Amino acid sequence: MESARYLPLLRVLAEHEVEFILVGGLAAVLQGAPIVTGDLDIVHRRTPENVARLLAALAELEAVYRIDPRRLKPTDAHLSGPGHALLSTKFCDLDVLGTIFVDTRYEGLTDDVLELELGDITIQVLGLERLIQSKEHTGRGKDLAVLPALRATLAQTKKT
Amino acid sequence: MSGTMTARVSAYEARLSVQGDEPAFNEDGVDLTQIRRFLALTPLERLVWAEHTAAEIEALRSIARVKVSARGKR
Repeated sequence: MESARYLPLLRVLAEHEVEFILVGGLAAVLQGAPIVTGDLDIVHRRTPENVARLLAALAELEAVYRIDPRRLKPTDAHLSGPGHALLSTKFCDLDVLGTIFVDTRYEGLTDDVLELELGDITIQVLGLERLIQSKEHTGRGKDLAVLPALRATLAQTKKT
Repeated sequence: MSGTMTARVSAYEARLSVQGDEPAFNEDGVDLTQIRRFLALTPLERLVWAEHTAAEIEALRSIARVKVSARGKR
């Protein structure tokens, strides 16, 4: 994998009309948090039609499981469940999450998303407040470490 | 950084010099000047920043070699 290229990956998802919400560090970056992030996390809608569109997009992205030496490709069964598919693509690492907050799926996040224009595409991004909740919820060291920056960004956003 | 992004940051910095009473850090030690500067960018510009930053870190990692360890031994 070469240096991360987020925009081309998002464009492929958009071109295949995949329904997804961008979550994680990059979602925070797009809302103004100056943090460094290594991968791209999405929660996808797990209907058969959307999983089929996602699989087509992932094929174009040459996605394979990054922690499996057999370079296995994701399947319909993998992406239809609540688990996490940790993938490597030709553009950057991509985590495809069936659920976050233990059991919250795509439909449970749609009230807290904003639509962001990125040049010629528009994507759904999980709002900063809900992102902060997700980081607080995991309680992992790497998530807790970025919380002060995310909370400060949210506070600054409310001022402007 | 693109010309547009540089111009936007410069415009923000010009405003900063006028609004010099805003704190530079919050109680957690977070650099608020960096956040304000970042908020002045568009989402697309922030995405480009993230890509450039990731590329720069990767480039530094690829050339970094430990010359002197933390204990001062080669």
